[in-house]
Amino acid sequence: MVCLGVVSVNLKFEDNLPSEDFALTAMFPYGDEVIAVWTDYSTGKHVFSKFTRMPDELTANRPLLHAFRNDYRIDEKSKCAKLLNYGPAAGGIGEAGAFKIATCGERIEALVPSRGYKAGRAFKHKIVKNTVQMASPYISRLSGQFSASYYTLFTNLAFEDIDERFEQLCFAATELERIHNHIWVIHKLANDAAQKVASAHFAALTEELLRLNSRVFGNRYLIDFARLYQFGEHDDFTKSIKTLKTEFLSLIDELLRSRIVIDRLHTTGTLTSEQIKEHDIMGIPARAAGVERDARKFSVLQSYHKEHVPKLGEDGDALARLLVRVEEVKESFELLENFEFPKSSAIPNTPAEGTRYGMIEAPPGDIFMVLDIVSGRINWLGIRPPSLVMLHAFSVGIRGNVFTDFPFALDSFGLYFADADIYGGWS
Amino acid sequence: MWLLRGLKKGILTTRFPKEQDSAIPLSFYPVNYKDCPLYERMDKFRCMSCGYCGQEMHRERDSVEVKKALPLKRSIHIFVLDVGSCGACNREISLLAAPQYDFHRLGFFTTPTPKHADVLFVVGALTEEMKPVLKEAYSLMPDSKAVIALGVCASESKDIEDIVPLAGRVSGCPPQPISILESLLKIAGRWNQ
Repeated sequence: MVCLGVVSVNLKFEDNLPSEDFALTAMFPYGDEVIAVWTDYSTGKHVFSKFTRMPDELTANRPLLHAFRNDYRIDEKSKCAKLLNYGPAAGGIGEAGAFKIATCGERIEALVPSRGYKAGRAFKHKIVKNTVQMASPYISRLSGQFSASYYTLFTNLAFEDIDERFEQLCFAATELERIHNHIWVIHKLANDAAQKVASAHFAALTEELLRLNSRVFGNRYLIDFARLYQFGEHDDFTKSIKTLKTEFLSLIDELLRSRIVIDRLHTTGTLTSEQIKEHDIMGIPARAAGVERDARKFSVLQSYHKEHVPKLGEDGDALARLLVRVEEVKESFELLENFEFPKSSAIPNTPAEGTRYGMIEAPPGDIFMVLDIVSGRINWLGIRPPSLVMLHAFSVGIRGNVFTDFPFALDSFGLYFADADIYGGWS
Repeated sequence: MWLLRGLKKGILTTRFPKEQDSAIPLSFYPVNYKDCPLYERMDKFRCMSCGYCGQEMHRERDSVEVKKALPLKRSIHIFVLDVGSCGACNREISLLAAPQYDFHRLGFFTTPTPKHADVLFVVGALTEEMKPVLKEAYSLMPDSKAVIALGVCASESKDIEDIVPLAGRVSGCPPQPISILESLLKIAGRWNQ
């Protein structure tokens, strides 16, 4: 993480630690101090604290701090357990990231993420001190799978002249992003359960969705969707969405009849509601454990989610996370079925000024961003990506599982190291 | 019943490379590369297709450049190394196995170890932490071998070329699976178009 140095941001800090209603959302270095960000998911309120020295109470009771400080350690393990490093070029992970695993041979006693292999990507220094307009293409490319979510959050914070046409496009793009990400997770889980035919069908469905994204928004991953939208074709959108929805419902119905899939996912990577609260986890894993943490009600696109009811599970395992995703895909398809495209895109151009912050619900969980803009340029940018919390959640949920459960648990969180390594505050 | 479903759905696989597939929407590129506000020198391999140049955008195929084919006659095995990507290129590579592309039918397979690989796909903007990993992965590959840089981040990275010789590159942000398939056909010496 990069310290803020002499940069100052205009935030109101609380004197006391917030109540237990607040989850720890982010932590950013601030000169010689640290800023902590807290969120009450029932009201959408964010509060900020500043510490010269981290209070002992926080260090002891908020294990998510390890994710922010990247200081995970495996202290306790049985006598026979060995530590093994898995990654950063391991095929099973698929990205430049790694894990340290303590095991006696079969059961995973402890696991910690070993991230940072992608933290040095060159885009960060192209964003800070740049104008908000010229920073936008790089914001879109911080995390390819969640590009629409990052761009939507950034533009809603960084620009003053957001109009309804632009917001409509953001809404459509973020819902399309949710659908293709969730279906890709289902494809991976089916593949892990050796359901190769089912997995191929979901891969084919993903490919059709990405082609739809390209036809309508100019890029398969919705990168720069607002700018490329004007060149896309939108006439068959509703028909395509209905066809894809029918296909999805049929495929998922067939997949969930498989006892193999159910058995492999049930009780794998379980997180209880108590663990969710103890570890400040949000997003899909929280909702799968019955904890209602969903940023859509208060996000930058809240006006489009007024009727949204968070989909909740009970068991907190990989199966529950799959089922929550299925319900979210259904909802996203329904929201897009009657979507009417604006006649033009109206890209915002007037930069905001001062310190702005907000959240958006990306496919696995929420992104928190805080920006300080001075004379149209980014003075400071802080991002807490969802995958950082998902990595932590995975490290908690995998304990006690056996090695063969590893891919199911990992894939069920829908996390990416590219996303997790974005975390930090840059000036 | 998956069998009946598959029979009902029919063949989804593209006839590419026997013929171009018009069902695949091509990526957008600007009509020319002058006036890029992000880089002084711009060409198709560096272009992110972001649209910030204000140029008219049109659909065209990603550019695929391969210097020399490998002297191999049978299946090609590919090791994929992410050296700092955003994740989009990774998924495009994974989708080569999707029914629409089915790269296995053309004798291309991924392998989890560079020791079994003929081709190294590099994706992403190279980070310091991944430099030794890239170097080692390449050194573990048996001869004859080739490295292909996929996407804008890897294609424009001089750091990658300082460590490994590049046999080819594919433009795009990200490069489409059909273009990645074209690069494999070229590296295998089987591109006749």
